[in-house]
Amino acid sequence: MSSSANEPRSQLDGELHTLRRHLVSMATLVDEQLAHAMNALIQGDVEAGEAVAARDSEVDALELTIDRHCERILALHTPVAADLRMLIMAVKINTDFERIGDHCRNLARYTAPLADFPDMLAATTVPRMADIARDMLRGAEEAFINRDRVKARTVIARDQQVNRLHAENLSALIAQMQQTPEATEALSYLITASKAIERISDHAKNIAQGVVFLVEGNDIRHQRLSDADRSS
Amino acid sequence: MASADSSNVGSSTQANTAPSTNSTADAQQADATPTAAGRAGDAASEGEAETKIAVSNLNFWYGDDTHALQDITMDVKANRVTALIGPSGCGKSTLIRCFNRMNELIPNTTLEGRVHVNGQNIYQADPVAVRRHIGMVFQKPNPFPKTIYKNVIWGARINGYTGDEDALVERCLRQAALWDEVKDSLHGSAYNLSGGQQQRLCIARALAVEPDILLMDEPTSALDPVATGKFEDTISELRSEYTIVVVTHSMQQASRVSDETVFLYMGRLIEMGATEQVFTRPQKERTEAYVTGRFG
Repeated sequence: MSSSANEPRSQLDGELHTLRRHLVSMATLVDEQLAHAMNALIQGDVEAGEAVAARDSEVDALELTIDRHCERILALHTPVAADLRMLIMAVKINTDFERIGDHCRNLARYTAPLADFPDMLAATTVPRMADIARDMLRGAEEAFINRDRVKARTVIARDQQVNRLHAENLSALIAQMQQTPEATEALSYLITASKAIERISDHAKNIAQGVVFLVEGNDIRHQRLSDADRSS
Repeated sequence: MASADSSNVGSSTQANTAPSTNSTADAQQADATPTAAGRAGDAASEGEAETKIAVSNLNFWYGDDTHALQDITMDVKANRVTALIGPSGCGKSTLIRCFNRMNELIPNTTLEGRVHVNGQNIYQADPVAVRRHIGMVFQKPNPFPKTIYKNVIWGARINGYTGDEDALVERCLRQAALWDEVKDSLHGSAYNLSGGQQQRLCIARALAVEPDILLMDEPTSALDPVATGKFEDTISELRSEYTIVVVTHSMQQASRVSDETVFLYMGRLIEMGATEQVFTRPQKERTEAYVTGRFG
């Protein structure tokens, strides 16, 4: 196909390029939010936590921009096949990014109540979970940019590790609650923080599944990864 | 999808350019072995739709040089809407005109291969009888310069229809979703109708001779979006009783109205499948490039 044959869809290509750019901005913003929220939490830096919470409005605004852009492309260009998958994926992962943003805001808000109990946080696997979740988020972004289905599947596989760590946290924190009832409030925040990171990892997994759908046309949600591998 | 027919490749030419195959012998073989009907039976037993039009190794030339259709083999299922899509010059209009021998009206053309309708090789049959079973609607509405009523009844009268003409006109106009708009002006000129109404009148006219197949060659290209919408609704209504083949340049129309989509490119059938599959997960890269507008 000659380059002139590409002209009929130059407008759509331009719109899709803009959409990809918005999604990468969203991924970068949310990644920063997660890093800053965890730093604030670990260092007990209440001010930094407030900054993260305040910045959530940027995530919300970008979510609306992306949704409007998707609506515009659907209405004006009626995409099909791979283009349609891109739009379906964009709408879904946009919501995942925004939900990750909300969890980051909540994590940041736990900074103040947990600031007086720095050892308690360090004793859990919450920081380790956050590192893995952030790796997953970055991996999903990389898979999206490079249309890398293998990388996407690697991200999906790591979700189980986070789930396992959250379950361990939960048991340990409940046991601790029984032993030290006076620390119940702080421990409750830690359980919620652990759950928030577990959810962030779920959303990163969803984003990676979206990338597989985009590249392969296979919807591998609600499947075991081994079954999903067989269907590829 | 490939033909299981064991007879020789049939041939039918329109302008003394007959290939060497013996068409008479072929006709006898075709009559003796109604393979397409057999195939339809097999399909039915598998719970699939019956095959209405079976195309086997179809080749078509304009003059000596332009090989417009190249080795097309495909089945059109009964009571389905099949859309033919592809860029200009890909052969979709040529193909649809092979289904009712319309191409014979063009001089110096050559056809090889077989087109079976209801199990019969139509190129071994009386062309007038063939066309009686296959109605056609063209790009531009072409009503006769007569009343709406006479437009509908004309073909039926020529075919010797002796039943209740009023009832036939009403039934056909209702089927074409035009009755409510014209019931009070049946004896007015068809030329007073809008383009969209005229196109639906052409459908009603085609239905009056009781065909079981309707061919439509870019039927809405001259219509505005509202008329196009009504026309597409009519196609959906007719699907249960007729087998419909529609050539369209509009990808959205193909995706809206058809059950099966056939993608042709440079005279070859590139891909045929369920419309949903062709427009969501096409199997061939060239199909994907076409339906997403990367070429054509």
